[in-house]
Amino acid sequence: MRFSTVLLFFVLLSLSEVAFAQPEPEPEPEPELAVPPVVAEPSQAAPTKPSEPPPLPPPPAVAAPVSPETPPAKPIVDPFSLSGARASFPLVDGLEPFVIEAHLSLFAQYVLSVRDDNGVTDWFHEFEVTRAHARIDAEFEGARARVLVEGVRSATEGALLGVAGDSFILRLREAWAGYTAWDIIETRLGMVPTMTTGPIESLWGMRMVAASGAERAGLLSPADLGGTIRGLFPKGFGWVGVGAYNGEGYSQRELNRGKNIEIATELHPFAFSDAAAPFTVLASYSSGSSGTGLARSDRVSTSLGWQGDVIRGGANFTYAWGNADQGDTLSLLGEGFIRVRPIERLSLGANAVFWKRDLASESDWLVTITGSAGYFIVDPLGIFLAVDGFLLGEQAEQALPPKDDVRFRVIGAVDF
Amino acid sequence: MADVRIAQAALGALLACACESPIDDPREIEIVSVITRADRPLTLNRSALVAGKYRLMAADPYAFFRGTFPLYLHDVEAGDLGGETSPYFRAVSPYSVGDAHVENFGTLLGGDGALVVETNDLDGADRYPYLIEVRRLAISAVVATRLSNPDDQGARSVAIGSERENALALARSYADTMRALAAGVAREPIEDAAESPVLADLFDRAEGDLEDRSELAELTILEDGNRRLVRGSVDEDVPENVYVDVPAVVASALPGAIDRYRATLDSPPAAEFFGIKDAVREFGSGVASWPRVRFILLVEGPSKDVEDDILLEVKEIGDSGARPATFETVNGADIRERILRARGYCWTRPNAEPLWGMTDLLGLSMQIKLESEAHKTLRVRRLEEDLGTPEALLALSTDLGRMLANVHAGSEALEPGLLRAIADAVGSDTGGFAEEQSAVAIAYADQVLADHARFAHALDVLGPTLGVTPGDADGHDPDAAALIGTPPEAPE
Repeated sequence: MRFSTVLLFFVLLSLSEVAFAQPEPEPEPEPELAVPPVVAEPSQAAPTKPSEPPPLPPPPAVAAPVSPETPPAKPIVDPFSLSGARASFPLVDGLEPFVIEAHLSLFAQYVLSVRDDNGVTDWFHEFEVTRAHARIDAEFEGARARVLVEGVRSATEGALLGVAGDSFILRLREAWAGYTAWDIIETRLGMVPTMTTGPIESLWGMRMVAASGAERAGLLSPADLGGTIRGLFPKGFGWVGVGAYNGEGYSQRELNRGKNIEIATELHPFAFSDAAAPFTVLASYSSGSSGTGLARSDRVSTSLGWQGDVIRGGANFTYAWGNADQGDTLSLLGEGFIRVRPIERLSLGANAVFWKRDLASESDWLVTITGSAGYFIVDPLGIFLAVDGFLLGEQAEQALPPKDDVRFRVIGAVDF
Repeated sequence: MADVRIAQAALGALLACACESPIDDPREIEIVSVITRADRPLTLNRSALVAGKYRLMAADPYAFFRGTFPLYLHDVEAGDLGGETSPYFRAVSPYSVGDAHVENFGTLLGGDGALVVETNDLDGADRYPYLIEVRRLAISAVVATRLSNPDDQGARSVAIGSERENALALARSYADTMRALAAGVAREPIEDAAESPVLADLFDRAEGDLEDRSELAELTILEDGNRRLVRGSVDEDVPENVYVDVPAVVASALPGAIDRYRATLDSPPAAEFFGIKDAVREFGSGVASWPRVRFILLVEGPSKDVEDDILLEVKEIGDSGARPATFETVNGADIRERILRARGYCWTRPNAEPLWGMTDLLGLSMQIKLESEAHKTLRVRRLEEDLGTPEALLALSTDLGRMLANVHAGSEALEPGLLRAIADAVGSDTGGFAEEQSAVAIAYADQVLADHARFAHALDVLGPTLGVTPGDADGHDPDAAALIGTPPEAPE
């Protein structure tokens, strides 16, 4: 009964893909801002389909600026979830397949927050920059490297002094070197993206509206210092990987001899079928610790989802042993999300997160519900309206005052 | 089969990288994590000073309590305070002491020469939900009771027998005062001891030293008609409390810092008043602020006469650690504004200390205030003999509840209706409110004393900075190193 229900679900999703699919005349469709193909989070580069990396185009004899007439260079190994308006330069002698790409990603928003302040409606509004990323990717044959910097407030936690007040400054978010051998083994070393957060966000495809619930809750870090090794399944079936990290995230230094170990996989079990290929299974387990006392910080995360062009969505469950320096606290987070593109350039999304901060407490929970609608004015640029609603259990409300009741946001997102 | 074994061995080796903790107790691990996280910037920046603070905390349970406000905030956030939700909770956040505890109250010397008991430590002052500050203060009253009469076990046992009454009295006093304030009664500065032996002792000592200008006698010397600050040890009870010369880079920056400080005073004296005659770097003062940069200045005062010279304390101030309590909160990036606002809202007597202001010195936010022996702080170690009786401790607790209510009442000017909101939250059931706060205070006081033992053990296992050690890249350029200074060798 259950199997047939699942099968019916896939069939319906497949039909919806066919029914809503826009004609794609280009032989090599340019990926759009919010529509990464199958596995397309920039921080999670992995060829899934086709299994063979696309051949690099023959470089021109001399480097030339990219013009509208110049077709964009082939992406490096993974299809980036960007507009395709990247700058690629054959830098050596024009004959070697040496490619460098520059990318920019910027999310900015206006936020109107409203809350009940002991019977009186209070409000606040401000402009924020929620993401400012600039990255350089380089590839030469199987060798790859990336440097990604992000904007961050200078007086965030850990800063003894701000820089010129609390200015935005740039810091490293990723900095790694990697090598892909025989198209099946990929290694990375440096400040690397962890293997759980990116795929979850890619599954929803609305990062400009919100990060994954597990990242927002502080249960998962998107990057850390360490190394990963992944085995890439052929024909787009996904990958399986193992990572070893310091465990303090990318914004703190290492404090103990323990290293976090992450085992993760992303599977597309129906990759053999065009119609069902978007079905995705994510699973990861990380064993780790934080601080000099090695507070336990283990995580299990599983996700099921559909990564279609028209519809994508799914659910994620993250179970945590240890939360916020309390190694003996058990925590559970469940998240459901969906994004629909009923017509070209229009994106509708919804996301609901339920987080039980401490399973031992009945009322220590938070719910965040987000709804959004966005329109891509041009491929790399979209504008979104979002509404967030918050509910807190009594204990969470007393432990984490104050809370917003509703937030209204206008988000501008650009991704080159 | 062999492949499977190899894979299993490889996986086992990988997982083995997640090393075992050197500490078994989960709460001990939690304490270490929270404290090292809160202190990490300081530890990497000035590990010897942080080690001094931890040494002090390990040696004295009340110093541990004073040094662990971040742990208290963490426990509040984790929902580990009291265990149950409270019907008296409301998200009402007045400006408050931030780390409200017994030793954060004391006398301040007003511009008219009068003494008043106020909160005398604004390092952590910020907007906090009222209830967590009431609880913090009640916990401190219980801990203080348990540590009272240090040399008289019998008297301490008697005092401990009254600890619940003390916590109840504090909460009742807060509730009653808050209701009166909400009804329109004016804030009443504590300008005399009334029936409190502890406050009577406080005023007696302050008035005596005010008359004698004891700070000039103890901290300065006259040579050839010129006054200068002493060097070396300044407190025989605290060998690490020493004055040393200031580095040249600081000396050259101090006049500019004083100019900026003057602008933050409500009624600044003439610039000549602040003419710097001498300056020293002070080490070994405070508890939570032990690693902070601190200087003592000798300035000209009202006239050229060396007898009216004035001492000022210049102390580095960091973030409060408070969660943003309201939309229009002051965040950690604006320490100066936070202190100036707290000064205005928390004191019951306007401009209770007219020389209390803010400045910056070589990039650090610094608070400047009068250094006077007339500024006496309530000290737990003095709660003995006549000051350690159940009656004296009960009166002290009652006064503390009243003082905190008065501190909170100042925010009515900032947010009209706040007093009524707190009074409504407390409700008319004073007994129920007091019972709940008393139960929380006693339970958490048990936790504090148990945590102190855990902390001492962790320090023993992990080393003087709880395992956080600066790397080679954490060194300073010569000016910054001079600013922070090198503390004297710790006593054996």
